[in-house]
Amino acid sequence: MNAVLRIAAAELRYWRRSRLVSVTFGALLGLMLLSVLSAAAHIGEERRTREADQARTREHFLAQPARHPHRMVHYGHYVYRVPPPLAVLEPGVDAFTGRSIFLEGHRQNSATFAAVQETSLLARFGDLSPAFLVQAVAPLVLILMGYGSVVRERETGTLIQLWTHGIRPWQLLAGKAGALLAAALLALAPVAAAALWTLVGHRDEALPAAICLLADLLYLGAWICGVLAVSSRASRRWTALSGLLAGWLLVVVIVPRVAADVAQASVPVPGMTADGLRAGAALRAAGDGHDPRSPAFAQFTREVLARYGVSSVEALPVNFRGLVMMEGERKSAEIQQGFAARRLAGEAAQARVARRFTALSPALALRWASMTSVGTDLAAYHRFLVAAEAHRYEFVQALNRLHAEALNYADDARRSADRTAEQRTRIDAGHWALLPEFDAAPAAPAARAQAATAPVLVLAGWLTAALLLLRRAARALGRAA
Amino acid sequence: MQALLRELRLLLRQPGTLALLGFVLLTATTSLGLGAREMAAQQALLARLIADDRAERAAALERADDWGDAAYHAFVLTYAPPPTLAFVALGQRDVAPWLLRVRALALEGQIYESDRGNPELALLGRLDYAFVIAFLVPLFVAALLHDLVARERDHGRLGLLLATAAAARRLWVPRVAAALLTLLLCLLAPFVAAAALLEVPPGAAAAVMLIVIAQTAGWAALVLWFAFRPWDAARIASVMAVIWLLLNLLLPLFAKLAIERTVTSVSGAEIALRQREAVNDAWGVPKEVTMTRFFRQHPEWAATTPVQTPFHWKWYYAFQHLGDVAVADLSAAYRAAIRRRDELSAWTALISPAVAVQRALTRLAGTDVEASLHYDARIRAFHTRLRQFWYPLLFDDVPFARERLREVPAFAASATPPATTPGSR
Repeated sequence: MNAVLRIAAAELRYWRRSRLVSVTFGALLGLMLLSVLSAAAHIGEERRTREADQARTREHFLAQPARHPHRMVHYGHYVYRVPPPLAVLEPGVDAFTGRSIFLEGHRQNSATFAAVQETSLLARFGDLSPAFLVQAVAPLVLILMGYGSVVRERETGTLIQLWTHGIRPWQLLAGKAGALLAAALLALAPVAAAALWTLVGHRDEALPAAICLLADLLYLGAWICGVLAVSSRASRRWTALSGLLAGWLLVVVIVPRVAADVAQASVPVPGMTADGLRAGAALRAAGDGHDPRSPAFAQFTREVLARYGVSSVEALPVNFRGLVMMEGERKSAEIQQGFAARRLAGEAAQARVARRFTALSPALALRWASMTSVGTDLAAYHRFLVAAEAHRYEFVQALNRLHAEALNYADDARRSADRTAEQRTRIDAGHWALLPEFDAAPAAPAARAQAATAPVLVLAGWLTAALLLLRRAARALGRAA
Repeated sequence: MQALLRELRLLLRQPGTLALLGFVLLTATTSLGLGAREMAAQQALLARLIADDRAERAAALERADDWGDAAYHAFVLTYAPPPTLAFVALGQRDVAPWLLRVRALALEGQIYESDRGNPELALLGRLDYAFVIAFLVPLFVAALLHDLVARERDHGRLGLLLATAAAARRLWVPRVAAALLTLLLCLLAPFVAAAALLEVPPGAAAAVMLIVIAQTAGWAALVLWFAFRPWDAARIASVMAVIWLLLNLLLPLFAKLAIERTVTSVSGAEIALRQREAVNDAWGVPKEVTMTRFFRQHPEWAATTPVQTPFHWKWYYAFQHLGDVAVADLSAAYRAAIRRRDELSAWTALISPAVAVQRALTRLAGTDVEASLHYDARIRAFHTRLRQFWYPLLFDDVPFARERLREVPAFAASATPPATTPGSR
């Protein structure tokens, strides 16, 4: 054990003397701190703004004067996507998704105002987020620190001296790995601090935060083992470095992009405009709720009359026009929800295709693990979209029910032409309190943790593979010794 | 010339170099193929949607019984077709919407709707040719040239080779030329083939090639500056890796952070909210007030018959337009902020070659922020045309005539956004 510690200490001394290592590692630490602070400020601000926006639009809705309930259906409501607290660690798709949706009757709108559209071409370079630094930059720094660790000793001939001092190959590798691990842990400290800081206000996020850090450790651990394995098998420092850099390029830079391209090509998702056009005929066949005389509602009319045992819609105890609005909304929502569900399923299928590439790139697996556990992945975004649609349907139908129950049919039918009838169709503003609170809480921490199991296992697989490589490298060293 | 041929032969005898060049050829070809496939898919989708849009509008207008109702249901598809060169640089095309159906209602309530692709794929990014040139070319150049001198030193041949200064020039110049020429061949040959196949105008193709050559030459100069230092190959390689990371990723990301903090764009949420309030308040305001305000914008309709009933389409479209007018300043400020951020990001090109290349290529390809702002402007212009089509029918109380619905204007895509010179590196 003592030998292991001595070797680790010697490695640390070597790094302190190397200008390149001190500068790059120092820069990594600085960047980590900066990114954590900036992410915390940014996500905190976004959360506050969107929560305030949500509260404000609700007040707007409640403050509307007495009017026809269907006017409120068209007045509509806005919902805002609030990033989860742990988005500080991994912003995920946040910048690439709309921040708010306008909810109204008859239509499903898209999420608007995505940050990526407002931030110039630089948005495509990524984010200086803690997640990016751990996924992309930290491995590179570990490579620069560790590529020479064993091969350097071989090149200078000190390896033989170590063997003659009775050092065993595994001790040498454990010492070097220990030094690299210490560096990795130091680099992760700001991330851990940010996670702890977030937990102050959101204690139930402990499990996802722990999974994030575990995934980071597995990932960097795999890199450390890989770097050491390559370094101990290489005959020259240059070979070790160029091999590792090529590996980094593939794993971090190229494979994720190929994954996106392959996913895009293998599952076509026509998009909202195409769906809107395809839904047109079905929506017309379903009937327009504004037009109770439409043949599309003939069957519905007969059913309603039979249910109430009356012979004409005028004789109904409720406002028939409101009933038709409800029926029209039910049918149109069903059609549009069908298209939306297929679209979301298509996107989810694309994501699954991309995730198969985790077998080629642990960086993808890490991103998947952290996005899933903090709740900034595609599924979390889809959850928001589905919640928004449920919210829309709920308040629109509540207003339509008022339309049916609180309004007189004759007044309602005449309101466009008769000013006094129109006055009587305005109902008290107190009714607008029917607007439910929008609850778009992310999936429960335990559920997210469970969803993150698969990528964490993939990362564990990568670490195991890297450990096996390292063991083989140790055996090879042993034969040489 | 003979020296160059000798170096070329030498180069092609090294298995490592051959593998690298093969990889370059493979990435360049793949990226172009993927880009072309994506653009063909967008092209095909667009062709289908244009036809579907026409059919859908005809069907939607079948039951219209007055102009106002027809205008309400007459959505028209607007689009930004993929420009010829888009396969080189996909740019904003997978994040900025390029399809939108609009109608004569308030545009500010429609224009931010965004039919956007899968965000998780957008997050991963694309392996397009622009990416290969901006991010991978530096690494290819470094891989080929960083150990130019160190290799010879390692083999103990350096002293011999450099006996005289003239000998040095005779050695390095053809060797570097051979390496760069083969690299450029592997990068440019697939592009030339793709450009010929996809009928890219020669001028544009030449501009792309110029950017590729400039990027390669620029990085070659930088790498050689280090290659001639008395360092060993591993040290040069690690320094190059750090420089690559700094120039291509860290500096642009710092710049992005700074730009986002300096130009705080007007909140889109604010535009949407204010527009809705303006449109909805109209229902509670006396109709004469709304109409007077509308006639201030459109005096040509002031003399038409006044609105008498609680609901009239004239009044409806009047307040819709006033909703747009109410947020015109906010909306303009929002676009100005986006443009300002884009302009500021141009300065980043001075310190980051990757930004310079991406900007130049997306500008050439018509897939940059300017192009999406251009599409935004075209939607706005088309919406005005749409209103101008309906207004005379509504305000002059023209008797409803179904056959005139065929005259609803169709959106005509302009070729590419205003041609601009490629940004300088």
